[in-house]
Amino acid sequence: MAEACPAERKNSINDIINRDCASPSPTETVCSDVTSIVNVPGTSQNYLLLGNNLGFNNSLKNSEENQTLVKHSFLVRLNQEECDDEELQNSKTLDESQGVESPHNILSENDSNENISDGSVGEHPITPKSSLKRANSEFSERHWRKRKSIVQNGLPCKKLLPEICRISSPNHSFTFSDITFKAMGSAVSPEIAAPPSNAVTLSSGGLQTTPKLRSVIPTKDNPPPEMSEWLAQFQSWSNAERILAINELITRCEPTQVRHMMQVIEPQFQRDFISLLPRELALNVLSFLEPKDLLKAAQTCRSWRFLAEDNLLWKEKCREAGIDELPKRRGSPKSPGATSPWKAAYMREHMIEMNWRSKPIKPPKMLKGHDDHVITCLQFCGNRIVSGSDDNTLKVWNVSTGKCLRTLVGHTGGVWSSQMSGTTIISGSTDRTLKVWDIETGVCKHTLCGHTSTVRCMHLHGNKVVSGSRDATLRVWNIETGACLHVLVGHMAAVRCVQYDGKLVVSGAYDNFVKIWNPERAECLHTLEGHTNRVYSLQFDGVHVVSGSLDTSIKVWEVETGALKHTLLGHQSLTSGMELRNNILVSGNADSTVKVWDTVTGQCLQTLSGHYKHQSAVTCLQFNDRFVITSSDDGTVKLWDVKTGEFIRNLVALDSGGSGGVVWRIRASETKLVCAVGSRNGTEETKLLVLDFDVDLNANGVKDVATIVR
Amino acid sequence: MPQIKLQSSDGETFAVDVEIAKCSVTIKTMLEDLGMDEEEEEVVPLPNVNSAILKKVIQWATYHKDDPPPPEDDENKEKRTDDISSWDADFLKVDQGTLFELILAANYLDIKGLLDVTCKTVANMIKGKAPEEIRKTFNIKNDFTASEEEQVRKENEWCEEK
Repeated sequence: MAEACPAERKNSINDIINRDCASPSPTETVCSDVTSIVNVPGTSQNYLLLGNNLGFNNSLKNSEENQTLVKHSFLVRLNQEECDDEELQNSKTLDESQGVESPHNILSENDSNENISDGSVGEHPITPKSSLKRANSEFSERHWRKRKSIVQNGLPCKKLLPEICRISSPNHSFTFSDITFKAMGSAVSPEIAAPPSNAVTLSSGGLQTTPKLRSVIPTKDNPPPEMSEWLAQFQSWSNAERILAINELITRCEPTQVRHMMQVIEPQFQRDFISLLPRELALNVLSFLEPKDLLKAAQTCRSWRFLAEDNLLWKEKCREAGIDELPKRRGSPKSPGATSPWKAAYMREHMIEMNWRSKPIKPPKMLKGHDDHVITCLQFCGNRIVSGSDDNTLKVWNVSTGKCLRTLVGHTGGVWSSQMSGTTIISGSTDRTLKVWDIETGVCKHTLCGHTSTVRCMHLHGNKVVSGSRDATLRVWNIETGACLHVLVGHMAAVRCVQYDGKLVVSGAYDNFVKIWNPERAECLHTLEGHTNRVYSLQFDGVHVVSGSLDTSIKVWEVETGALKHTLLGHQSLTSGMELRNNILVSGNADSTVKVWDTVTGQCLQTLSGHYKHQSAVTCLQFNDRFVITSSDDGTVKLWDVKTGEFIRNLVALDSGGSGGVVWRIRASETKLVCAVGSRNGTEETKLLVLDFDVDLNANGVKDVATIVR
Repeated sequence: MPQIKLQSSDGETFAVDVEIAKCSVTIKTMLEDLGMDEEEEEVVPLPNVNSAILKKVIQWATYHKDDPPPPEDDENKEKRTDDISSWDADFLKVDQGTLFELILAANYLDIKGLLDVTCKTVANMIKGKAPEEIRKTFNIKNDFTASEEEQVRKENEWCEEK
């Protein structure tokens, strides 16, 4: 081994690794790659060999016309080489004693090898490498014998000193090694990297006369003849012997060879876990990835893509993200790429979130109506919006087209409250009545009479609606029959807010009290005393009652006992609107801030304020697991992150904001936002704005049919 | 403490405390089903695990012998990969081949804790990497055609917040 030239060593190392490695699949790929490395440009390891070839080819081009001359000079030189062998042997000893093998020598040696081998094919000047195998067997036998003798004599493989292969031509005089170094120094240009077959022309014929010379750069197809014995020997050893041999081998290798070993060996310790593990284990690994990483994994190769599309895997990701059901796709063909419906659902959800968060906002639809009157209440359900106004009417709008379908006329005073369920809308007016309408026909089905003053608030549950009035009473109505079922008497001033969960009624009034009622028995179960000013807003989840008051405090009560649990302090003014979900309360205040509270601990989790805060009273809000949307008298609608409390962006900013333009009410669905905007001073025309955050193009650029439902 | 002998695929036997061996549900069931008498010192053959890997598995099980049993139903638990203990992280500083075999062994022996932590380790090797980096990490050949690759890229575009 110590005798073999570097390329041969490398080849042998590859072979050893091949033979000694038990693991099947990665090895095969790796080794086929590595064998080609020896011939193929691109890595630093094979640069040595490559450089040689290139330098040689280049020199050939230059000297092609002077072939004869060159041939001649070669013959001379090569003959000379025979006698130089012994000199070399001496010089080798010298070299080794210095412990260094000069690159000069290595390079020129390979050059000459190439030369000579090409020469061996004689009459076929342009000969592909493969045909070398068919070369004159007599020659190769002799040639091999020569090789053997070299080895037996302990002759080094470097036989030619650079100056030996000097080519002289009228125009050029240079050595192979010179050129080689130039080629190595510069990047491999396509011109230089001509196919080696060109090279054959030069030395054809002339070299047949020197058959004793060794041939060819060693490759897998053309190994040094001794190698198979050497490897057979290796294979015959026990494990311990092999390990010893490998250790010894490594100590005899040069740094570049050891590095080459590393390159060959390293990939063998790599495992394509996802492709090689049993499916359920691969999926177990993937289940620990976030969707973002799953998408990257799907792009690596076919087998990863297949597994990273697994529907159950994505169902799990959807569950983690709170997506519990697949969106109904009305008659839409499956999008071509996404094979997993759950993945499609996840991607859709994610894109919608991004549309809310950061994508450019599409110009909103403008739904103009109610002239210069105030929109006092807003309902949004499915593809219908119903707006109530102090112009005594309600208007029904088609969300998709933005058209006003009909105007509900009948009230003789302004409409100040409404509730919607399916195709039914109930409205409360200063005319002291409630009206039950069918929004698809525009027919007023019932007029509910009984209150003696303005109907200011109401809450619908099932087919019963509870209304609160300035007459200080509440009434329970059946909206099917129009009958007044119960009258709840007890408050001493106007009832401003009401909640009804089908069992209990909770009311807040200008008498500073909150009352809990059993409607069936028209009985007040608890009077919650504590607020020192009018109660304006209420939330009720069946367990806790939360009340917001002009006294700036928010109070959390236990409905069962009527006991005060927490007083939430921090706001500076009237809490006008609240929403309670899963023990998280979000409150909007006239002090222009919004607060997020934990109703169990009574802690304020976030205050939505800071640099981008509203400039005026908060008029309305809505929130979900991710966002809080707030509207204000400052003419903006803002989006906030519910978890971090960070301002995300303005969804709406009226030009007239600050000069009279206000946003009175907002309603949002998963993909749409409806805002009622206008002004009291004529700077902003009264209208509804509808913003769409749905995906209209899916990932493949195909129109998503589900989003253009009528 | 009673011991049993575990025999690896290459014939090596390891004496292990029964309690430690029983963290493998496979061995536990085997002992129960066969009614193996702990006194008899019978040898349990494990034809799917070689000695090097079995040694690692026993090392892991010994360290974790006092861990509380894994929760039966963690269906609703969020999948995390940042909760690997430093001992486990150190223990799993091995080449990919060993990690690969540890996963197979943990699965075969039904040791949930080891299976989880090994799979998490692989997941961590994937996390945050671009497709080309993933290929490099695991020596994967990109077998997509150019047009396929473009299609897959489009399909899997992750929309980031600007």
